[in-house]
Amino acid sequence: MIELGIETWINFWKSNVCETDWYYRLRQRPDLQIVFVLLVVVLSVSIFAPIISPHDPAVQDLYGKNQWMSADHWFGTDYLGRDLFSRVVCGLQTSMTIAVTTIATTFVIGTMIGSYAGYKGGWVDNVISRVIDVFLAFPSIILALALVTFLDSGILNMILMLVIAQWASFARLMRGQVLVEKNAEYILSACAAGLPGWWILIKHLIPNCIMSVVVLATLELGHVILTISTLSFLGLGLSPSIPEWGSMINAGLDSMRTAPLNVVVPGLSITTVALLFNLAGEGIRDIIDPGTDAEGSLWTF
Amino acid sequence: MHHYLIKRIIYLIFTLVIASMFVFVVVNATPGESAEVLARHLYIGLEEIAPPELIAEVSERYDLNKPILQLYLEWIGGILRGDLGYSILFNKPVNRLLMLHLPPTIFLTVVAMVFATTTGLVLGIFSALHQNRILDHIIRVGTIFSVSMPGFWVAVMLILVFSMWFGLTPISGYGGPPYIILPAIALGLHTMASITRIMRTSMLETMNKPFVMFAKAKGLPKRRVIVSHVCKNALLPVLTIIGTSFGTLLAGSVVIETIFSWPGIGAMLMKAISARDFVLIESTIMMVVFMFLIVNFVIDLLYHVIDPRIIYD
Repeated sequence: MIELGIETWINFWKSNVCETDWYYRLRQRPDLQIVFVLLVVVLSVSIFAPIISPHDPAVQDLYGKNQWMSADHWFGTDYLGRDLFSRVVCGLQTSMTIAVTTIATTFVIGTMIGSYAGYKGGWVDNVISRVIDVFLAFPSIILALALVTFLDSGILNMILMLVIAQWASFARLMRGQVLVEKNAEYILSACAAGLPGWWILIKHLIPNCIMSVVVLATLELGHVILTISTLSFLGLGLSPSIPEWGSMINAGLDSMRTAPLNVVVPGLSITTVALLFNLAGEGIRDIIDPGTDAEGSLWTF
Repeated sequence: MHHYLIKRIIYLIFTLVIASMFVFVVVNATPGESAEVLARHLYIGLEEIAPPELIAEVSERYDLNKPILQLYLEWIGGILRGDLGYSILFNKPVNRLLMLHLPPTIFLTVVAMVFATTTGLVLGIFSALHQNRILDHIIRVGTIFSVSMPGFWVAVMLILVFSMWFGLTPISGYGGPPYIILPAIALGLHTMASITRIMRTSMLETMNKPFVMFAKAKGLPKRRVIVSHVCKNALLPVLTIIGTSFGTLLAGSVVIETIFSWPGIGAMLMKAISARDFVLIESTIMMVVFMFLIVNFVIDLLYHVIDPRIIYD
C-alpha cells in the first residue's frame, strides 16, 4: 500500500522536478529567480488590489489635486485629486485580468487548432493555414480597430477582441512544432503500435511541442498589456470609469506640463510589468532551449 | 521558382479576398447602431439622442439597410475599378482622402524604418563585437526596456521632455525636419530594439561559422572579415524583421499620428471609426493590409536574391 504522506510528495518533487535539466539551469540563473519572484509579487498585488490600495481610486479631492509624492499619497495625486498609487494598483488588476484571460483562451484555442492542423495534414491543414494567414495579415491594433466598430466597450469584449487578434500566431507556432515532431521515431512507433490518432496527439505530440508555445504565451502577456493600454489610451475598448493605465495617461495629457506624475507613473507601471513578462519569457526559453546565448538575461553571471 | 511565384500570388489574392470579407462583415455587422452614430456626427450634436425618423433617413440615404452581400459586391466591384468608395464624414471620395493622407503616413513610416534599421544595425553589430563587455550590457538593457515601453507613452514622454521642458522641437504638427524627429523616434523605437537584438544574435552565430574561421585563417584583415563575411551573412534574419515590422509601424502610426496631430491615414482612421464612416474604415484598413502583404511578399522574394541557397518548394 502506498502511503501518501508528506514524504512521498517530497520524494516525488525531488525525483520529478529537482533532477530535470531546466531546474538545474534555473538554479544557475539568480537573475531569473528574481524575475519570477517579482512576477509572483505583481500577480498577488493584482489579485489583492482592493485590499492593498490605501485610498479609494475613485474618490476625488479637488483641493488636493496634482500633489507630488508624499507619505499619504505615495505616487502623488492626479488632476482630480485621486490617489495615483491606488489607481495604478487597480489599473494593474484591470490589465492583468484581461491579459491573463486573453492569453489563457488564446493558448487553448491556438494549441488545439494548430496541433490538429499540423497532425492531420492534407486539405484540413491547408484550409486552417490559409485562415491563419488571413488573421496574420492584420497588424493586431488594426484588427482591434476594425472590431471596435461592432463590439461595445467592456472587459469581456476587450478580451474577445484580443483573442481574435492573437490566436493565429499561437496556432501557427503550434502547427510548425507539430509538423517537425510528427516525423520523430517515437510518434512513428506509436502509430505502428496501433494507438488511435487522438491519443497520439494528446498524449505524445502536444506535451512535446507545448514548451515553445509557453514561451510565446509569456512574451505575449507583455505584448497584450501594451496593446490593452494602447487601445484604452485611444479611448477604445474600456469604459472611462474603469481605472486603466492607458486611459490614465490620456487623461493626464492636459496637465502633464505642471503635473508630470499623471503620465509618468502609469507609463512606468506598464513598462515594468511588460519588462517582467519579457524577461520571464526569454528566461524560460533559455532554460528549456540552452542553445541560445542567454538572451533574456540583463547581466550574464 | 515560377511555380512558387504563381502559388504565392494566388495565396496573396486569396488572403486579400477573405480579409476584405472579414473586415466588411465586422464593420457592417451593426448597421442600426452605425446609422445612429452617423446621425449624431452629421446632423445633431454628439450628446443628443437621434430620433428614429432621422436614423431611418440616414440608413436610407447611406444604403445602410441594403443586404450586406449587395453592399459588399458593390464595394469590391468599385475597388476593382479603382474606386474605393465615398466618405460620408469628409464628403469626399476615399481615393482623394487617401491621396492626401497616405503620403504623410508613408513618409513617417519610412523615416521611422530608416531610423530603426540604421541605429539597430549599428548597435547590434557594436554589441556583438563587444560581447559581454560593459557597452554590450548597456545596449541589451536599453533594448529590452525599449521593447517593454508602449509607443504612445514614449511619444508622450518625448513631448514632455524635448518639447515642453527644453523647447527643442515643436509639440505637434506636420512640416519640416524638426516635426518628424519625435514621431519617428517614438514610432521606430520598438523596431530599432528588435533589429538590434536580432542583429546581435545573428552576428554572434555567424562568427562561429567555419567560413569565418577560414577567412580569418586566410589572413584577411579583421575589418574585412567583419564587413564582407560576417555582416553580410548575418543580415538575412534582419530582413524578416523588417518585413513584419512594417505592419507594426503602420499600425503604430495610428497612435503616433493621433498624438502628434500628424495628418496621415492613422489619424483619419480614428476619426472615421468614431463617426462610423464605414466605407472609409473598410477601405483604409484594406489599404493597410494590402501594403503590409505586398511588403512581406517582396521581402520573401528578396530572400532568394540575397541568399541563393534558399530553394522554394
